[in-house]
Amino acid sequence: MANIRELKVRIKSVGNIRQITRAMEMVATTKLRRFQDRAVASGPYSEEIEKLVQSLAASVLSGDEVPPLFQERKGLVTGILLVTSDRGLCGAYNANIFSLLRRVLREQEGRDLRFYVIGKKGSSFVKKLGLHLEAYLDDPSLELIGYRDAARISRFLTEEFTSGKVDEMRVVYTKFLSMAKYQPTDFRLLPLSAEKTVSREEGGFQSQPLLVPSEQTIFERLVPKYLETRLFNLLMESLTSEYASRMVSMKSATDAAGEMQADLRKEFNRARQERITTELLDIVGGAEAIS
Amino acid sequence: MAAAAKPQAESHGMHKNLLQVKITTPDRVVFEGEAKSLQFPAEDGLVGILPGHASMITTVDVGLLKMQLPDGKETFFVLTRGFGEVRHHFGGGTEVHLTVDSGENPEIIDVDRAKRAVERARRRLAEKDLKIDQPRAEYALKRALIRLQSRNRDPQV
Repeated sequence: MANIRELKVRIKSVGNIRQITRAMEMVATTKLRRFQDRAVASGPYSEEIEKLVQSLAASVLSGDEVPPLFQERKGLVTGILLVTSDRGLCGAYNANIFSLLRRVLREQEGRDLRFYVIGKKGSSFVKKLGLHLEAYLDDPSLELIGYRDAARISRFLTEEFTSGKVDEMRVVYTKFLSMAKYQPTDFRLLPLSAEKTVSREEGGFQSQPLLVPSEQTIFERLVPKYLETRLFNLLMESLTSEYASRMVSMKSATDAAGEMQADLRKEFNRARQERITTELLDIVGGAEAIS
Repeated sequence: MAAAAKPQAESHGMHKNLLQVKITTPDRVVFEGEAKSLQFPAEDGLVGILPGHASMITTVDVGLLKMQLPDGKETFFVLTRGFGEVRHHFGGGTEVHLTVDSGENPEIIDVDRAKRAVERARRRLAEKDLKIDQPRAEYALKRALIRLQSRNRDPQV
């Protein structure tokens, strides 16, 4: 039976695939840990900046003059920072972002959209839909982005906003909720909204602190840092989601390959047994015919 | 690295005569511990902080931070721009949080790299090219110079 040889080949190739997906799963796990460490390392800094912003925002923003990064504009140009992965084989990670993006496109109908893209998948998607790709940010690739690179991107996007090239800047990325849950998210980076920046309760100081040189100056310095930390955090969240998604999908691929291998082996054994039985019958039949 | 791993004083009444200092950068917390006093570069000159200082928020400029540790020893950090916050808790301790772009112990500074950075920045500033970002190049020069000077342990920079 030729079937037997065929089965043997298939068992072997499924086994090879399983080995590969398992290796990929392990690579994803290791990288995931590294990205989490990187995100954790900058945590204290983000917290300090956020605390400072909150202790100043209330009084600065209640003043007569709204800082430029908080000013709402009437213009019709929207910039969208799209964060995707460079490589595939990460489950529905990119597909989920794109389906959210389609919804955003419907919502933003009538506005002039400019895309700022991170990740190869995103750039080919934007090109495929014939959208306006303003900048493809691939240096360095998302996997290698450190705080300083995120800060540079943040300065670039802020500049696009302050120069008037775009009237608002949105970000479409993947929010990391847990190892099994990541949510494509669309939010407005600029202009900053005053309500979201000011927290309700603010304590800690026993008395009003001295502000040197002045409240405004400190705040103006602080806001760009605040944007940097937010951008870095959301890039790290995207990256973590990507690798968590990749790890899970590689794990299920490994499991599926294992199951398939077991099924094939069962089939193979049955076929082999069948062949032996037929052969035996043949021999017995032959022997009987001779005697 | 003088990473004195003292537990952060939750009850501020304990160390009335010491400052609780924390220096945070985007990469990590470079220092967390106690100090008798410290001096850091603010925008308009050096600011000295002693326990009991009033609450304050200020901007930090590039420069050398000098800190006197509880055992009397002095330690230094090269700071780049950021923010300084003093939190005075009545009847208790004084916290100093410095949140800066970078904070380095002078011993780990790469002198050659700093020298190269000085040259690069000077060259850029000399080019008179309108395209260059003047304040940024100046900032880079200042950073590199401070890094070099920090090796001499001279806080008068």
